[in-house]
Amino acid sequence: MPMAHAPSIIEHLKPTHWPVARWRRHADRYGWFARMLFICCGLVVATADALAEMTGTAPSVVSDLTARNQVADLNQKERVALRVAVASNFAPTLKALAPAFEAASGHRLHISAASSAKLFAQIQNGAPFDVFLSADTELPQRLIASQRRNSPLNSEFNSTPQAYAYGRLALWCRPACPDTLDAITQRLNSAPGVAVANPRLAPYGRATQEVLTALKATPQRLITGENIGQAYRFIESGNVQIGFIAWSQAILGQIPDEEVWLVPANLHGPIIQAAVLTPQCRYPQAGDALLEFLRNASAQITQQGYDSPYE
Amino acid sequence: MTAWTIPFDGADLQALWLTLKLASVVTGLLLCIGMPLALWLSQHQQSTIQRRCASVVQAIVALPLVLPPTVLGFYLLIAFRPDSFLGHTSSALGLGPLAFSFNGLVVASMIYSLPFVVQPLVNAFRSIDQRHREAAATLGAGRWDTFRYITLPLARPGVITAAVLGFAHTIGEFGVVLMIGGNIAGETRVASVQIYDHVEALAYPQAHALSALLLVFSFIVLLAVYGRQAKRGAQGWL
Repeated sequence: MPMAHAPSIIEHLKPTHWPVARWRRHADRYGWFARMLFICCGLVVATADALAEMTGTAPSVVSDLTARNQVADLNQKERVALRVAVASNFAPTLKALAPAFEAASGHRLHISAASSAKLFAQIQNGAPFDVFLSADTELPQRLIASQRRNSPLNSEFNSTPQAYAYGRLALWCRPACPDTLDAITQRLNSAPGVAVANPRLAPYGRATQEVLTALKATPQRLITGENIGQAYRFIESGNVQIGFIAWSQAILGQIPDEEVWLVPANLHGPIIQAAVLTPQCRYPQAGDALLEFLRNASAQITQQGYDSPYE
Repeated sequence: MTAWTIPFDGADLQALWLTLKLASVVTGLLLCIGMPLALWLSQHQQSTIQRRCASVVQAIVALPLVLPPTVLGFYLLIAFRPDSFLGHTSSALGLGPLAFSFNGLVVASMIYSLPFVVQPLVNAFRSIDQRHREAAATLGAGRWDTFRYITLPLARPGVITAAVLGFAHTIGEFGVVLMIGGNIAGETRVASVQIYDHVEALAYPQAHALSALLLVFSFIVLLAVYGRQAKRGAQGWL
C-alpha cells in the first residue's frame, strides 16, 4: 500500500492491531495546536463576557433577541408555564389557589418557595423566575431599584410592587391560651422561653417585636427561629411552650382554638406582603394576569389566614 | 468612600469565640470517647458474634455521614424534648434542657462529628503492627502502659488527623445548629449561623468580613497543625 508520507516515530510504537482511524493516527502532531486554539478561543470569549458585564453594557445580543422574541410571542393568547418565587409563609396558600388560576387563565404555575431574602438574592443574580411574591415590600422595591440602576434603557420592564396580602400574627400557647391581655403578658414574662421569628430577617419577627413592646412584655429568653416556620417547629416539637406564629400557620396546622390567640392588628405595624414581576420575566402579560387574579381572590386569601388589601 | 471601616462588631467576635469554644469542647470530648471505641473496633475480633457487633457498631458510627445535617437536627429537636429520654437524662445530670443551649449543641455536634473522629482513629490503630503490642505484653506492660507508650505514639498522625477533622467539621457545622440552636447570642449563635443571618438580612459586607475572618483563622490553625507534623517528620497526613 503506497504511503502518503513517512510515518512518525509514534506510529511505529503503536500496536498494529490497534484499530485507529487513519486521520487520528497523526492527531498528536496537530493535537497541541488544536488544544492551544481551543484554549485561546475560550479565553477570548470569557474575557469579552466579563468585560461586558463589568462595564454594564446591555446583555449579550443573543439573549436580548430571544427575550424580545418571547415577549413578542405573547401578543397572541397562548398558554405559558409561569415560574413563581413565593415566600415560604404564603406558599401553601398559593398552592391552594393555583388550580383556580390555571383553570381561569390557562397558564400553568411552577411554584418555588424559600425565604424572601434568598429568593431576592437569587433573582438578582439571574434566577429564571417570572413573578416574585415576597413577604414584605422592601425586597420588591429593592429589586426594581437595582434593575433601574443596572439597565436603565430597558423600558419594557416597568412593574411596580403590588400588595397581595396582609399577614396576621397569632400567639400559640400550650396547653391553653389566656383570654385577657394582662394574663397573656404575665404568661409571656413567666415562660422559660418564647419562640419568635428573627426580627432582623423576618417581617413577622419585626411585628412580634412590636407586639412585645406594645404589651410591655419582657420574656426571659427569646428562642429565635430563622423564620416564622422555624418558630412554629420549635413550639410543635414541644421544646417551647409559647411563641408567636403566623395566623395562616394556625389555620393550616389546625391548632385547637383554645391554644391560639389572634393578635389584634392594631398592636403591630401592618405586615404588607407585596408581589412584583421580575426583570427577567419572560411573560409579563401572564404575570399581570396572576397579579390581577390575586387582587380578585381576596375571599380565599382571607380564608387562609391573611387580610386582603382589596376587600 | 470617606473612611474604610471593618464591618465588624462585638456580636461577630462573640459568635467566633463561641464557635471556637464549641469546637474545642467537642473535639476534646470526642477524642476521649472515640479512642476506646476505636481501639475496640480496630482489634482483631475473636468470635463471629464479636465481629458482627463490631461491624454493626462501625456502621452506626458512620451513619451521621449519610444523614443530611438538617434532617439530623430535626430529629435531634424531637429527641431533646423535655419529656423524652434524653430530656430526662439531661435534667437528672443537671445539664438542664438540651434544646437551645450550649450543652445541647455539644451533644449534637458530638453525634454529628463522631465519624470524622472515630474513623481516622480506627485506621491509625489498625495500622499499628500487632507485634509491638505483643512484645510489650511479654515485657509485662499492662493495657494502659501499652496504650500510653506504644499505641498512642505510633498512632499520633492519625490522632492528629482525627482531632483536626473533628475541629474543622464542628467549626463548619451549620444545619444542625440552625435546627436546634435557637440563635441565642452568647450561647448558640455560632459563626456559621451569624454569617447566614448577615446574608439573609442582605448585610453582605458583614458576611464577607466574618467569612474571611473564619477562613483565615481556620487556615492558620490547620497550617500550624500540619506544619508541626511536617517538621517532626511524621509520615501520616490527610
